[in-house]
Amino acid sequence: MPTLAQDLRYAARQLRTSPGFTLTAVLTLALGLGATTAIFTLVYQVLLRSLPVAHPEQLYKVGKEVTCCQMGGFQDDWSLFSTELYRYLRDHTPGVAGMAAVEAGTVNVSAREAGENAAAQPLGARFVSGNYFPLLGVVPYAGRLLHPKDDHEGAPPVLVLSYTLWQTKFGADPHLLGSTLLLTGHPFTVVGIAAASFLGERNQPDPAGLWLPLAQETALEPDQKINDFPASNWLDLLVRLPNKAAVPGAQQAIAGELRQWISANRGLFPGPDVTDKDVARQTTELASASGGINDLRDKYEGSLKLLFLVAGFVLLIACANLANLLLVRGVARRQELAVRAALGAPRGRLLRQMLVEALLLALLGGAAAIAVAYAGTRGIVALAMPGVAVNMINPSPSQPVLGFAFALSLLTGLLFGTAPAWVSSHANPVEALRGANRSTRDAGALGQKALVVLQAALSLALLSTAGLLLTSLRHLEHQNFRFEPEGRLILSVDSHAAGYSYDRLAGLYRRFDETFPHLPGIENFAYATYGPMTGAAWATNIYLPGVDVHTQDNAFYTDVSPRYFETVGTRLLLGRGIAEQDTETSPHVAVVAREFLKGKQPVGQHFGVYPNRSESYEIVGVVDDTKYGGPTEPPHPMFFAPIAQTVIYTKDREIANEHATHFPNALIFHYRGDESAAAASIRAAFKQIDPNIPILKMRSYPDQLSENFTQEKLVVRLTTLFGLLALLLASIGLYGVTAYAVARRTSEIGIRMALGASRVRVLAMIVRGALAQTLLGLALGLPLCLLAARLLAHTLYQTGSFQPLVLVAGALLLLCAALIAALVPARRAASIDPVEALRTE
Amino acid sequence: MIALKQIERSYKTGAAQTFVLRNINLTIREGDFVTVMGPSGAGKSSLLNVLALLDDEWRGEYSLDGEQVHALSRKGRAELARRRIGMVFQSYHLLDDLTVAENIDLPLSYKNLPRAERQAMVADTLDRFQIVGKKDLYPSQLSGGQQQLVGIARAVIHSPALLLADEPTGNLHSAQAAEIMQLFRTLNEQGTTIVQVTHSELNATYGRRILELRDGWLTRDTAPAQGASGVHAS
Repeated sequence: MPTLAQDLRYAARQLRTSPGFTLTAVLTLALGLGATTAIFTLVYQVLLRSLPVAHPEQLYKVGKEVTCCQMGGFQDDWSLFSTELYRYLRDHTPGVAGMAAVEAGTVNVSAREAGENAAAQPLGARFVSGNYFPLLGVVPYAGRLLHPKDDHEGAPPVLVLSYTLWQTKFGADPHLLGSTLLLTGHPFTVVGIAAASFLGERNQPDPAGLWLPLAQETALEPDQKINDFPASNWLDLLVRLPNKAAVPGAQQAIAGELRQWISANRGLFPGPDVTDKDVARQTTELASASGGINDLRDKYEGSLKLLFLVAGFVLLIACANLANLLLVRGVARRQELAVRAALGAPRGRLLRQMLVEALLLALLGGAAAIAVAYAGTRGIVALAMPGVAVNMINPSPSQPVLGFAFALSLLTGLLFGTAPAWVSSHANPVEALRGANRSTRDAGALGQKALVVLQAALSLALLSTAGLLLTSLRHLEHQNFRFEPEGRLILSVDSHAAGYSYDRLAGLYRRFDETFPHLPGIENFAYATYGPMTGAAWATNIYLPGVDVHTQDNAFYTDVSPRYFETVGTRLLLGRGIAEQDTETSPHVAVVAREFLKGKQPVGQHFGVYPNRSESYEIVGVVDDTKYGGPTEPPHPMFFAPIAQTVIYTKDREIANEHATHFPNALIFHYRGDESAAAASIRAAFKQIDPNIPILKMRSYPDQLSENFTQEKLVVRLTTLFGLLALLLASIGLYGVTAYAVARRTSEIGIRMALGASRVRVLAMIVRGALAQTLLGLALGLPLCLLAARLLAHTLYQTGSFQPLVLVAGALLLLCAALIAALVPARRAASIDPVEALRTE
Repeated sequence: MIALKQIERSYKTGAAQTFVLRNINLTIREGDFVTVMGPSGAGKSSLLNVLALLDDEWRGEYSLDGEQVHALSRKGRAELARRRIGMVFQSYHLLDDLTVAENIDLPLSYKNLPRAERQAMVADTLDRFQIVGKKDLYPSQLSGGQQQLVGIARAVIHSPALLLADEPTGNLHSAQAAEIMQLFRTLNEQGTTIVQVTHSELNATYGRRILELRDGWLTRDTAPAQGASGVHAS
């Protein structure tokens, strides 16, 4: 132990006396380890972290998929449930310690303290079952949490706030507890504030910070009343099981009860008669919810794994660089090690001493990496989730992240330190003690060159990966979305949160129509349930008259105002668009996209969205296939109904659905001239119409469109950054090896020049040697590139995995960097004075 | 103390084998002060490296203090060297990053001695070589003579029976060289067997026996012939 302390002391002194070497090594490590630790921070926060609740490992979600927000009909593999089904499963499933329900989506409400005149603020709320908090084992920060008695019809309306919301939106007002908040005009008593660390069971940006009992949904959303419809699935279910062994039994029991309930409630399912075969097909699985219901995992898992792999490669390149540095340093210290050996140092001691130096260096690098990782994680989160106020991803290094950084530093130290330590400790002391000039053999030279080749190969793989992803992103961004985002603004509003009911919507439309089209600079204006590429649309089955109901298609749909297609820039291909003539009293019409009824003449055809209502709409026009779904998805069959027309249904659920589509969530403006002037006048006019309707977002349509690629952009940016980092490290590595070779060959170069070699020949000799290593690296990197491309193929958009241009560009970039890295020492070699060099010899 | 029998050392140069030591037969008694001389390339340093057990790749028989070196493993040889041999170099080979005291402590640090014992031995040695005042200095802060003094102190701190010196005064001016040689003489008088390699006739006068090497052959030995020792020139 004392000798280990001595080794440590000497190692620290060695590093202190070589500040240039130490700084280079620590910086290299800080970048390599920092990149990996930053990605690990995200991996931990998104994929590995447990919910801050009691025994999170006992929590399971019913249903593997994370879906939103409401769904009807069969799911086959069930993940969303209606309130009635939840209660049935809760009360009839044996062996489950508890089952709670939580709304899968978020409801926007406008909140105002009762008696205050301040403007209402839009907040996200989530309905939960009364046993939600008891099941999770969350404790209150203040007051009390919800309990089962709150979740009954007729119970006083109460709510619980998240600590973060209380701090950020209510200024941590202690008097809020016990006071009344008006949510969309409905009074709720604030009974408690949840524990500070608890932001809900969902790992998502800007999580809802208000929790309301399920039973209050009917009062708060009188047009929806989704809580009352047994066929409307809108809840995630969480169960607590005593241990893992109980999972198969519980899963089987829940799936069995699910089928039992479906069988007893066949009439709830739309479409043809439900057969026993249909019922038997319905099942569900339990998925671990120790980390909560993880929206972020669903969204980012693939990207994080890719980035973690890429960062790992950067670290590997950094290791190769450091191993190279240490090999060079080992050669320079051969004499010292030989003296130690001559004085009795066993090889094991020499090996240990060199390893201690490497590990100390790695730990210093690891410490610097934590700072790099913190800054990196902050940057990545800001890029990935712009405009997010409450983020569940905390970039501060947590204990697991620190542990990871420490372990990775040690591993890295061993990785880059072992080979040079072995080479150095096995140097022949007799050779070393003879003096440097008497030996031309360099045990590490081959190793150094091999490491440069490895770095070049890995760099090419990373650069080509970045190139592929960049090509894919360009195709994704520049695809034809079949509408015109330029010169458009989109306003996302929530009239429902301001207390609007379906009955009041006609008045709101009228005020929109009277105000916005007349604003200066506004060329066209329209409103709709959803606009193109806003990440949301209603989906429904389609039924045609006289066609077997078993062969129904499905489609996306949105209700739109007159001049909608002109405003968003969707081309009319046939017939007419939605116009002022399509009023509440005129025949119900629809315009369809080209994909709808593909292969048939659509104009004049009728269709409906329920089997017994297959003549609800008459198709009057066909428009281009504008994209409403994800940017990588093909255009979906789509129809557009006039927002002013309402199909009259008789069933409550059908009525509620029909009414829900009439809320204008998207207001779209085609403007001329200055965007900010148009935005200002729109805002002012909107305030005049109704200051209580919260504007959730207002942005240019290109920005709205760009939001669809945030994740892809982030991955491309980081992969490119890592690729360039790899290139830089590889160039530094090549420079180091070439510079060292030039220094060692000074006398040889002197002799060559004394014998007549020109400076150009010397320059060419050195550059040739360096480029040969790079070319070998390129040759070895090529199969790596092809392998990486194959693995990435499924994530690429309209981009084949073999892209010769990308490979050539990557190779040229690497060759240019190598040339620059080699030219500096080559010029130094060419400027050697032969007389001076031979005198040294 | 030392008995070499038919020691040969060669290097491969291309297809040929170049011999640097040829058929060396030699006996060195305990307490001897032997000087190895000869022109450059004669094999002096090679012989010293064999004696120091730094070189493993020789053929023949080598007995040190009754231990059959040729039969020992690499580890065994290293262990034997650690116990019995001290080494002084022409270029001192002090470690630049260690202080005088730390340099002197170096051989002890490889012997698993308790720290306190090592500190006491270092203090004694510093005192014995009268360099206590320089114990915290670094080699670069010392003159050549002082550096070699530290080199010798480091070589003898563990009281080796055999002290090997390769051109110990090669980098020193004459006054410093005389001081060092006087030190060797004193150490020899105190019982240390010394083998030095030198070009200097003057230095050779401090010893009691001269060996001369030429082209790898032992061509002269001033010791009185007895037993197996002596010159075996071809």
